[in-house]
Amino acid sequence: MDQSEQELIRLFEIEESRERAFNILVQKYQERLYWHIRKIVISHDDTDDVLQNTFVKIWNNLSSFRKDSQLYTWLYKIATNESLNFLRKRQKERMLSWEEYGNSISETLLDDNQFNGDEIQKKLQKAILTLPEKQRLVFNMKYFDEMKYDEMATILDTSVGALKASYHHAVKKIKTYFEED
Amino acid sequence: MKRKENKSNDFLSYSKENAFVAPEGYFENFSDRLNERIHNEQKSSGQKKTISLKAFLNSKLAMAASFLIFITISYFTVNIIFNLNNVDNSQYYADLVDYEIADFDLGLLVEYYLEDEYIDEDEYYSDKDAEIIDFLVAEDIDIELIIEEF
Repeated sequence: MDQSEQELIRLFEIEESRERAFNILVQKYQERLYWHIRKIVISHDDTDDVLQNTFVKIWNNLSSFRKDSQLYTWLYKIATNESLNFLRKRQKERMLSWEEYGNSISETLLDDNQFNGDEIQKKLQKAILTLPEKQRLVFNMKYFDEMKYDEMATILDTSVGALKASYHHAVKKIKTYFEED
Repeated sequence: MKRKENKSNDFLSYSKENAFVAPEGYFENFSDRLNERIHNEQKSSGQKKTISLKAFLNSKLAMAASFLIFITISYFTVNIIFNLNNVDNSQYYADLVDYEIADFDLGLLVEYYLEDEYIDEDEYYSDKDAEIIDFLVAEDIDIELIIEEF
């Protein structure tokens, strides 16, 4: 954790400067976390809900953050868990399987005027939505965010080997999706 | 075949540029909306605390009532156990009379009847007890008198 983050947490622990420190943290991380969540839940409105929930959790738990670990890894972990919980909840509410729910999100992607990509980008997003939960996460974090495997291992509570295998399977499935279409 | 391979590898060599778009001004307003939500949640959690205090007091009343019920139940339970012990005693005294008839102590018998005056006779008296009572009646010995004597 760098010095500015340590200072930020120190300020957060003081009642008088708590809100100011939190606002600095929000300004610093809101965009990175937004795009991370957006790639998981796809729609902007859902992303907004999940991002707010993520920061509310951060506000409530920052005091208990272990200072020996990376702050942004901890923030990503909360954002990832919140996104997955959101998707699972929605999936249950609609009584759909993971695959069916992925297909329904694909449909909204076509209608979404918040997606500016060309046909290949749209197709790539659709291919990602056919992946199982873990492979989807790993692919997004590795391919788009170019995150290191050891950082991903901390965020997703898994081994580097398992992540490499997940990424390999994800790429293979996406290639097949492109070939078959 | 080669064309197909190229097609499938397209996405890997393709720009990783973000294709999603956020509404204009979204990030500028986000922290204000977030702070508003956090303040509202803190307010409502403060109200919840007040409600919990009420609930706490109510729970104290409930605890006091539970304690009274516990004491009452305990009192009756102890009484029942005590009476059951007397039933055990009756068995003990009956055995005593049966095996040590020569040294039969009327005092024990009286003590037994005094203690067991609230016990349902049909339920708790053994055949041996009935025999003893029959014997006393046959010998014209006044049980009440024996009781008074002791």
